[in-house]
Amino acid sequence: MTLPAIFLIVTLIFVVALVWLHHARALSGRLPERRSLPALDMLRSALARSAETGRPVHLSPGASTIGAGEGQRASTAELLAGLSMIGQAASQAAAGGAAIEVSSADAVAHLALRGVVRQAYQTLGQSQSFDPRQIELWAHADAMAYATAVAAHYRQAQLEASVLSGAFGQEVLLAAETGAQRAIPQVLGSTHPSALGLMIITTPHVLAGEELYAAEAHLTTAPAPQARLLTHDTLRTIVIWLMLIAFGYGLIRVAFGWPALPGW
Amino acid sequence: MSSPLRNPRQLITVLIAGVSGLIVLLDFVGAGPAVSTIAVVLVRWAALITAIAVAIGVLSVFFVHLRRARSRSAEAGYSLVLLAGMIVVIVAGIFYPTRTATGLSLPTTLADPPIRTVFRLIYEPLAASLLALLSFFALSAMLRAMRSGRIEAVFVVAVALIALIIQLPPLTLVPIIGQTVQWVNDYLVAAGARGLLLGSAIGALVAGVRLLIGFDMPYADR
Repeated sequence: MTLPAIFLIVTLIFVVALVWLHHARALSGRLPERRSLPALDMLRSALARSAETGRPVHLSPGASTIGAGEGQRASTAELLAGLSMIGQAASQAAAGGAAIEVSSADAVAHLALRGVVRQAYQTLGQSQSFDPRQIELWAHADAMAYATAVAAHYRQAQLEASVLSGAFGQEVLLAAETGAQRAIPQVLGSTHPSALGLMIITTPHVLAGEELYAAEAHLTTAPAPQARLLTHDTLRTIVIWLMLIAFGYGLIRVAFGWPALPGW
Repeated sequence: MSSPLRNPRQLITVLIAGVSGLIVLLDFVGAGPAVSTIAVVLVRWAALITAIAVAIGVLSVFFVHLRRARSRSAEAGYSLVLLAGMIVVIVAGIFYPTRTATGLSLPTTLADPPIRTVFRLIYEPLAASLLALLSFFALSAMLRAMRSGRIEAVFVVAVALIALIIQLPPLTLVPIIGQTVQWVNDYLVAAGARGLLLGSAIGALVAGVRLLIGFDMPYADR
């Protein structure tokens, strides 16, 4: 077994241990205070308004593809984050009687979305309110076609708000700008720098980078998402510390004649 | 959420998902030929399930638009165009034979003619037109952002304008500007992009591990 393989397995064991630890911590209710995310506050209020006005909130996990490989812009992780967020939004919609409509750009994601939304309604005992036609497949493996479909939908439908959060590139502007022109409140989220710049100029409600992964934990008090967020934060802190230590080492190593770190 | 240990159906689901994920992961780090063989079979199954899901999706889209076309609603014309496009691509991609050196043959991939021709003549000009539209959309979004006065939006627009201006041909010839742009790209832009990438990678790692050990079960029908 090669050195990178051993490193990967050791890292995996460490992450598994962290996940167990934080899951136990979340179950015991010992959770830190979190900063609020204005984008998600907007989503909550849109769902509350939807229950009164009857206008639906559009939810999208992005133009992602399940099983997207290395080098592809879409990623499975972003899609899973989007699915979790939509699951929580669907739970709030089921609990409050809000209307939602969900769209996707991948056939497998479409089936997963149906499962997630149905489960959300079922868990709250609202199975009769679930309508499979709420979840639509608007494109497949084509982000540009999907963005155009969202823009066309914005022109036709009366929406309370729209959430486009997941793997989006610069084509998101086709939909987001149409939404902004029609004064539809939008929550936009991505991890791609090319999309984030365009999102920021289109709406004040943006989920940038890892906020996408934190969204589910902000929408619910259930222990599993809290544990996921805690693990995420701990790992990020460790990575930041490792980078700072490596940077410090790089500064002082010349003075002491120590060897350079590989890759630095 | 009920524990999988108390629910045999969930336990089986978690075991199948966890063991499958672990096998593919072990194959990724090079655990040997036996693991590799099983991992290849699992990945092929996943590809087959994906193909079936796509086929179901295609059928669903076909029948939804067929119903809409029959209803003669305002959008019936679009549905007809979609159905016609779908039939042309399927016939061109599967059943249309082309003459090759060894005789007539059916296309084997999407990169083969005649489907490549269909994409080149119809899809690519459409996609290029939509991409070109983005510049007008960007201009419109920029003007609205400036009017709104939001600090972060104005900042993004200002940086974008500066980046555009300093990359104009006369300015790139000035030595210090070219070097400054290169430095900004190499350090500031790359640092921001890598920060986002690291956050995403950690998110993916945590999501993967939690699926693997059964803490998250988006696949389980509860």
